[in-house]
Amino acid sequence: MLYEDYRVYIEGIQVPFNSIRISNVYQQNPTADISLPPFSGLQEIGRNYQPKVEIFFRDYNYGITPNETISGATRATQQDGYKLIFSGIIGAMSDTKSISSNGAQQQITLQAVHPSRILSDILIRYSSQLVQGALNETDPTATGATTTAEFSRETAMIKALQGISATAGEDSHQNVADAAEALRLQGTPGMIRVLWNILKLDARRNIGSNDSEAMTDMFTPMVEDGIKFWKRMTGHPTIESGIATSTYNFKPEENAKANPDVDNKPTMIPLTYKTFVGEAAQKELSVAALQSLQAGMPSPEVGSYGQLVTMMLDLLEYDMITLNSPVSRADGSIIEYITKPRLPYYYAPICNVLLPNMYYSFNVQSMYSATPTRTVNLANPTAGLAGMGQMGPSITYTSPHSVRFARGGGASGNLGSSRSSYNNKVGKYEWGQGIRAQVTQLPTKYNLMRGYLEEKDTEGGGTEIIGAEYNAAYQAWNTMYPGNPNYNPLGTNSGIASFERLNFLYADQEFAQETAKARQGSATGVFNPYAIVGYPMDIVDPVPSRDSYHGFCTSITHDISADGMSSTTYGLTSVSTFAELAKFNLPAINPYLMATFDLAEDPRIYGNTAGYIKACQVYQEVLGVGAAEPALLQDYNTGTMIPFTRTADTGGHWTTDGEGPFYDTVQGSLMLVARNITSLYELEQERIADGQTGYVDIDDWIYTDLTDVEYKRNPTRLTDTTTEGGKIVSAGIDAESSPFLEY
Amino acid sequence: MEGRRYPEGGSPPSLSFSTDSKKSPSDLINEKRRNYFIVPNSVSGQLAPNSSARDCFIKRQYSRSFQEFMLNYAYTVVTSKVLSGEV
Repeated sequence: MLYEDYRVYIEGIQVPFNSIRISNVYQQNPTADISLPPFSGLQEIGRNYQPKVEIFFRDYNYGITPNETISGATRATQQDGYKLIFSGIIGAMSDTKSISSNGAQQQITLQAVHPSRILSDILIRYSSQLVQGALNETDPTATGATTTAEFSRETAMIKALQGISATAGEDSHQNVADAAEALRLQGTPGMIRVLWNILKLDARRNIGSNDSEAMTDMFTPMVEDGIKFWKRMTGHPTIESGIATSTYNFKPEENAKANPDVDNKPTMIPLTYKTFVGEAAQKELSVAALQSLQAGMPSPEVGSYGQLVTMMLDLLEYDMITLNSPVSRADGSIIEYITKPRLPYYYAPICNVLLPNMYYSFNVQSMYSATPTRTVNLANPTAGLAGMGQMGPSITYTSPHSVRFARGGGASGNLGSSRSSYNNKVGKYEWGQGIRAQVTQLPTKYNLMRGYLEEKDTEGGGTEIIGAEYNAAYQAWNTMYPGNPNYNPLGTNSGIASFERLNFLYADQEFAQETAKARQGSATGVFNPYAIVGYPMDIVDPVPSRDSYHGFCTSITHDISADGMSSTTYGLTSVSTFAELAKFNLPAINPYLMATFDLAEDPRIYGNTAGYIKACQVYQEVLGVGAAEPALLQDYNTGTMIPFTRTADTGGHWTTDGEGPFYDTVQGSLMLVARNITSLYELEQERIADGQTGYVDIDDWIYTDLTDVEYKRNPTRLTDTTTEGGKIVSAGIDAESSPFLEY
Repeated sequence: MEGRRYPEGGSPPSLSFSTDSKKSPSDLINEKRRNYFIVPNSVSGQLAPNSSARDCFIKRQYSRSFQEFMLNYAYTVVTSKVLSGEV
């Protein structure tokens, strides 16, 4: 129960444990199941309270050396050797006992979840009575004037698209704490920060008898200072800086009510809408999409801020990754939340590489017959929208390019001709396997916008936003498909309206997703706290007659036993071999990202120096480690591993100049993929700086003499057992209270 | 049928939590263990100052009362021998 390499703290007190299972699944909050020796009263600890639990492992790479653990190192040194593998709040408990002829077993299992789940408890209605209901967004002030809610459907999303600002005042929806936060939250992460600021501003109004104490006095301090949500969040600056600085001035509709907060203010274009269409159409793309999302939210009575964030990020094709092992940065900051675009096809960070001694089993399944040869997305403009005209279901957006090329009439045709629904031409590569079509309806959001976009595109004169970004994205497509400029969605000879780029982009992403689903993988190996869910992952096989794999990590589960046995299991999707990475182009990714990642010249993530260097920058600035270039892991021709190493000089990157190979041992392999994780010492210092108390280790009291203790009455029991007249004299306490809290 | 409610006759036993001086040593140990916490004095100064509900939820302060419970738990589990009769 006291295996020294792992520690469990409940409410800051180190406790013995039987076993732990920590699970981090893509797009979900991390969870942990902690099995403890049973004890009377343990089953009540979660009653009307959420005890805090933290789990640490001893890190021999960035933490402490084995010699220091036995040489009487100071408490601070010992504590700095323990790194966080999970922090959460206890939300459930199970008590099990079984007796058989072979023996008996009993244990209590506490189920914990990451504290960021609190965002789902923050109902929009707590912000202000003003935002209740869709219609009543104004309210009279004490002086009789009216005021409009910040969370107004007309302006809230436009404000979100303005992002955050380091210079904004405290009463501004763009306000952030300081320049460091402004750097971390620039671009898309700033959008969800703006929505939070908007709810705070509305809550401070407190008009008439309305009271927003739940927001002002509970959830705001809890989220900002308690769990430090914004202080520990970041985006990828390499990606977001371009989004933050590439803005246009928002022009209100004619006859619209003037609003100085949004009119003519610099407004961002989210990644997913960066299709280089005319300025008027781009405005509609972003603003209309987000406003329709706000309109489609559940009522403020039941809808939560967490729900709003999830829906918005999903619309923008972003993730918010919650790290169960937060990054410890050189400047002392902690990164626990990363808001990033979905990147199923990209380089893996170094911490997501499984070297041969790190796993003992893996499995990859490729279901070729389940992979479509084409995706067909039907436009359905018969929903009665004004100004649409009679287009009927004859418009389709297909993918991949080889199918569009055939349907468009080949070299003499163009992209526009490929839209005809009744064209049954066979794609070049379908001749070898038949046609397996995945037919779906174009999402409603694209259809709803179609009418507005067509009108705006014409109104704006089809003015393109031409610049280095556009040129790079245009060239990237031409590099992948040389000699077919008439089929380039970004080209002027494509025969499509510029707003239709979005539909073709959607079709390409659908095809990439369907292809990805058909190839799944899993692996199990030694305990590895460094890997991160939501990023690509490499599994390296040193045997020349076998393949190494690259995929997208969708789940990580750690199993830890008190006797020291531990393991980590991984789940992957979109799996391909290193050989496939070298031979085939990446499935379609956003053209802005292609340009940002320096993949425009060569859209492969194998042997691509420019792309690799950029990937190192993307990961180093957030995770503290560089990227893994598959061509540097394994020799392409011989299939043998290339000796590479990592030293203090190379920091977060690998080099092939070293003597290595460290990957011959488990410990050496973990050293090669390690990243710096927040330590027990750092967390304790942060708590002390906040005026809180630190942690109590078993070492602090293990040698206590029984005469040097205090006996205190157990609060889960009756304090007074006196009975009189056949009943207990002392009164019962309210069922909704916790015996461990003072109210 | 009053007389048949208790085959052995008589009234229901009276309820009492009163201490019985004839309890065995193991009864006394169990009573102490179930109703009291053991809090080592050496770490008393490291514990939270109070168990304020607001501070514990909002500021992520630890509940002192809860910490005493967990200290007692850890102390008892780590230092005690589990008897077969306890399963």
